[in-house]
Amino acid sequence: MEWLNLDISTLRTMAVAVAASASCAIIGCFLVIRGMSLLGDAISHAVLPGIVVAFLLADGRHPVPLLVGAIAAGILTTFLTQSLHRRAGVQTDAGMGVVFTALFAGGVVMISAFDLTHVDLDPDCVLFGDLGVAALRTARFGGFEFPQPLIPLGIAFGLNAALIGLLWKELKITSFDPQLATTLGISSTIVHYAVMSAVSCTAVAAFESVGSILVISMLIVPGATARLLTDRLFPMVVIAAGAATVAAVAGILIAGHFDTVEAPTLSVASGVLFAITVIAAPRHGLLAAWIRRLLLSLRIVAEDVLARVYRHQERQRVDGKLPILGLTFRGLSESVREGAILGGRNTCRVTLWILGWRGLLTHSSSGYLLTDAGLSRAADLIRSHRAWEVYLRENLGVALDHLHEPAHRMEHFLTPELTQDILADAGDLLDPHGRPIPLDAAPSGTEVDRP
Amino acid sequence: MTAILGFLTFDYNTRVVLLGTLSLGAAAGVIGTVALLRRRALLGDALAHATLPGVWIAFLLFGKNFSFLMLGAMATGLLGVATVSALSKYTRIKEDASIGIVLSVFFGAGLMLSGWVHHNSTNASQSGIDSYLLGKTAGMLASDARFICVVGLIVVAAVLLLYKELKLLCFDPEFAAVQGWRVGLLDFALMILLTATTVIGLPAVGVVLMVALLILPGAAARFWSDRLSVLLVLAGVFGLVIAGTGTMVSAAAARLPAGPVIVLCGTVLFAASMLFAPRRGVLARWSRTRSHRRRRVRQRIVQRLFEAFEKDASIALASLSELSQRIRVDRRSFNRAVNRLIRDHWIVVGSGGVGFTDHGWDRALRTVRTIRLWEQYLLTHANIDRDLVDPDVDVIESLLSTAVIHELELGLIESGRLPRDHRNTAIQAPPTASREVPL
Repeated sequence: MEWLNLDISTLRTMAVAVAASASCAIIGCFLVIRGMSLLGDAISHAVLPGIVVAFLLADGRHPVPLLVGAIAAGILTTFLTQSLHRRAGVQTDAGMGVVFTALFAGGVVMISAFDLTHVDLDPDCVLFGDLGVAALRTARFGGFEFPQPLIPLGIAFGLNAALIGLLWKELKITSFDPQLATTLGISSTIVHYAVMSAVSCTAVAAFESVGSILVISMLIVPGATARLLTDRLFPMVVIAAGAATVAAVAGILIAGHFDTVEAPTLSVASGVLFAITVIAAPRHGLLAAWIRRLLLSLRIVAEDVLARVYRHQERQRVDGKLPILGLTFRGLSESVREGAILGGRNTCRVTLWILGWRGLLTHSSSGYLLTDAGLSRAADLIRSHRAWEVYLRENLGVALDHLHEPAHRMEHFLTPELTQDILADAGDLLDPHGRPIPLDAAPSGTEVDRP
Repeated sequence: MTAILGFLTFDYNTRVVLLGTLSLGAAAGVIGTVALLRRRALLGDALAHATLPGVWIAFLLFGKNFSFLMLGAMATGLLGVATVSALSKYTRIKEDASIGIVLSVFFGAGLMLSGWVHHNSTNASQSGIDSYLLGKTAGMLASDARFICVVGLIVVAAVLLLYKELKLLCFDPEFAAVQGWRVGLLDFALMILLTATTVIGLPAVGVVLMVALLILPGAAARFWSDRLSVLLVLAGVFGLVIAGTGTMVSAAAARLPAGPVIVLCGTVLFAASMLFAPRRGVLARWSRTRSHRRRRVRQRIVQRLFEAFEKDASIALASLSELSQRIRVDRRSFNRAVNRLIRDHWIVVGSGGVGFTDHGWDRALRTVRTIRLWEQYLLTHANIDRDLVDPDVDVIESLLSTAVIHELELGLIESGRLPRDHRNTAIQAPPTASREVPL
């Protein structure tokens, strides 16, 4: 922990970063679930001309005109994008691209044309911001000295929290079911504009610290991270705020350690956090999905092998051979080649080992044989298979030579109850091919009646 | 004329910059249109931002070598695009959020590297790379311009070569897949072309405004045509025009940077197309809606007037104020419609009211008949109530077969609603009611 030397300036930077991230994250959740992340992107660029106009008219860094300018620009972006789509039939994404680049270009041209760079308003500053520098300016309140940017960020956080608290129900309904919201008399449009105004305010509060492009990462990435971790809205907002805080603290520490700029490091940190979540999220993560699929395919392979050995033993019983010989690995790998058993020969080997370990299969001198437990599992499977064949034959009239394939797929997914129902309806003891359907009591080798 | 000559006799620097921006504008217009139609317009945004870390990685590895910087930019740009599609395909994150995430995180990574280089390197050669962010058109070298020109030509040529495939990809990707085209591969080719264009555009207009150059020409051209071939040519020309105008304006004015000015020129062109394009333009749409609305008002006046005569066959003139009460439109629209009907010699104004001219009677009969047939059709065949239908005259004969129309007419006769010519039964209209004397 040698590098963890927290002096007062690092702590101040960290406070500003956490405030900026958390205010963005809680409102950003709604951008993510409403599928409007890119409007957040657009607005964070488009506030530039609003800021410039506020600068020109109010002549200085006074917060109120800045806020008004930003909200106006945000609402203008939202309105123009919607109008281009509805009135002029422009694709939404294209319309958004046109509007925000035009507004941004207008802002840059205004800055250059009116030569505003001397008042610390240059495009670089708006684009990239500087957390460290922003946190240096301090304000005093009641004998307590704190970074000045915390004031606008605190206001933005308060506004967002108030908006979310007051409009919680409306936000929820309009986000997930706009039609229902309309029938309930809640105007989606008003809620939409409220969210967009909040996003504009937050963007302008954060822009001097982190710059307009990195605001996007603060708006969207924590929300997206939370989206992967939960299905409920309130936990999502809380998790997003938590993820934002973690990313902010980690970003500042890493930036201090490697001696690089803070805000971009913060955005990379939240990106890394998101990447970890994408991989490791318990239900929606890639790893979880991969494990689920792996377990499913292992189960299917194991069941295919059991069924294959069962059929091998059954054929000998019908032929009246005693003693019953086991199935060799060559016989199994032939089935693998024909596709009767899922996967390859190596998967098959692993599965055989697992089945032996679980006591479902034994390896005798002649080959693999089912144990009593294995026989019972295999009989369940064969029963499902043949029951499905009966069902397809009797209810849907599927041709005899087309029964095996669908049954081979369905046998893994039929529940015992459904199998029971099908067999009770059919009342048959033989499948359409004339083979016996194993009953609940697993038939052992000697009990089969021989003709 | 002297002004044009003045433009043509630009100094060497401006000519170099013009060559670069013109090639860039045309290439971006063409490939941007394809991306736009494939609904990948804002992917260019993510792409442009994702090139930044590549530039810095290439700088750290190979130093300030133009082609290596471009290759690095292309590599991370493509990585960014791949991440966007992987995120939206394999996780529950939607495409818009994926674009936002890739855009900001990759860009943050680029800035982080840049900050690291600035803080930890005494080497001054990194100056100049910063201009990839906002673009520094004026600093373009002849070699840069030639490079842009060559890549631009390659991009346009590739689009022409793949014209048929791209067309299919844009308008019916499922059909393309059924036909055996590798849609994924085609998309990848499109992304490569898009990335190449973006990468060469960065030094000229910068990361943020590159996306505008990709979108604006195509979006503007979309108002003028529905045909892909025309669209591509138009978008290319638009790209040329805005790049040329923007460069010249910024060269003429002292303090205006070229990139944003080019984008603003594009915005003006887009706005003009949106307003004035003949069929899809806002003004054209608006005038279409207006003329349709006015026609509907006239039609209702004719219908109500006819019904007044139908109700009371003894009158020859109907009161205008009564008529206006029965048609729920504002005063101005009503007056305009009546004046138009008078001007077209459908109705005449006599003492105490209005009446049809001979010509008006013919037209009214036809109009009312069509309306009633249509109502009857919807009533009997589509089970829709008469009050809910919004009949549009002149179309019924072309829509329905004669047999159906005959059947409908029988229905109207049964309910006594088939319009009859009241000229025979009514009191002879006063002599003023002829088409030669309209009031």
